[in-house]
Amino acid sequence: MSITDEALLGGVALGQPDAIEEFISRYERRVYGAALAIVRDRSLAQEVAQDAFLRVWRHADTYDPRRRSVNTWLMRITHNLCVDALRVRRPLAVDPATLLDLTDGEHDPARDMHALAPVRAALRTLPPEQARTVLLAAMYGYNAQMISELDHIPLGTAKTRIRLGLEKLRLSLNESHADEELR
Amino acid sequence: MNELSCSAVSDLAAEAALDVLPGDERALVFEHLEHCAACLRLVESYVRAADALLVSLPQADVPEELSTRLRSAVPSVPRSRRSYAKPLLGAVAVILVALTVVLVGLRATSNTHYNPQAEVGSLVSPSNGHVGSVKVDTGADPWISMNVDGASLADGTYRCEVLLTSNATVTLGNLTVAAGSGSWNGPLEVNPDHISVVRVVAGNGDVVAMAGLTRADVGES
Ligand SMILES: [Zn+2]
Repeated sequence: MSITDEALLGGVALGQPDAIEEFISRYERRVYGAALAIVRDRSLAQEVAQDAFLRVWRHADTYDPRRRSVNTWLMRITHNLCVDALRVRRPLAVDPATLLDLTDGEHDPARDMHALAPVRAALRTLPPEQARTVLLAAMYGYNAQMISELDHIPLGTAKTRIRLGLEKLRLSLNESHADEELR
Repeated sequence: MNELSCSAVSDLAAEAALDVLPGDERALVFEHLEHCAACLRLVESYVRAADALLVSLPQADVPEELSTRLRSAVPSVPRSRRSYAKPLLGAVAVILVALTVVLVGLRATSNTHYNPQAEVGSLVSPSNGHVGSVKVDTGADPWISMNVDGASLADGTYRCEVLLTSNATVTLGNLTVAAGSGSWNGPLEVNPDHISVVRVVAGNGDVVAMAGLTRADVGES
């Protein structure tokens, strides 16, 4: 029986060395992988990953299980740090093809297949320009103004694509959830 | 008279959930969400979709170097005031948190708790709402820690600064709020006795929270 993520984080908050070691082992691949996928630079991704864990050590006691799972909380922290790191380095050359592959990297099939397939499937159901816009905003923290400049489209179009894209994503994720519950 | 309608908010809900709205629009949306449960639910459902995207990011093999660095930053070393080296910050932070928990616990149970080496303050918003706390360890090498909690500030980076009794302002560092909480701590380069207030300042220059300091042993009875 392995300890739950929440209990583990409780141990981290108390500074228990075993809990901290287990937390690193459990999450280092995910944190580094997410950072690498977003910033696409090995040394920057390492810095981000280190900062993310540092932030966990500092804020483990503020984690609220009612708001998010530990995994999601940690991905949020990592993502915020990536966006901060990229903000310093802009302009970033963003290749749309790379962006759409973003969620297709190496996964641990046994663990990830089930959980992640719906997200990738949902992304594929979006018109490519909406998928791209949503990913630019959700992954890179680009706002509508920046997307409009980057892709040479009117501001209103950028805002609409963010809204429609995320709306479709939300609906198809809800459906795949509903499917699961029916099974 | 700038209040947004539900339909205007639902148009901006996706951008709000992704935290990519310009400051003025964001403020209006968040104001609306404070009293509209329906729009709040919509934004939250977008946040969950965005969360699903982040969680779907691939894993990757961790370079040996990083693996070692993560483990060497494990907070098991007692805090040394002389060592501000990066790898020790994790240790310092956890000990500070532990210390804060102990202090808060003690202060809650005993009004007469005496800690001659610390000054504390509550960070409050301009409307007097709870934002977080500040603690200054006075002594030979003053150290300040600022903590924001309770989801009172929007995610983003804020500047920590102190206003001195001379009216000069000194910037201390940046505090990043993620998922409603964040903290910053570091050496305090000014004499704690000369501090008028400690402030948290948003990117647009607005002071979003401030705190006065009192000695940890007074002010509660
Ligand atoms: Zn509403």
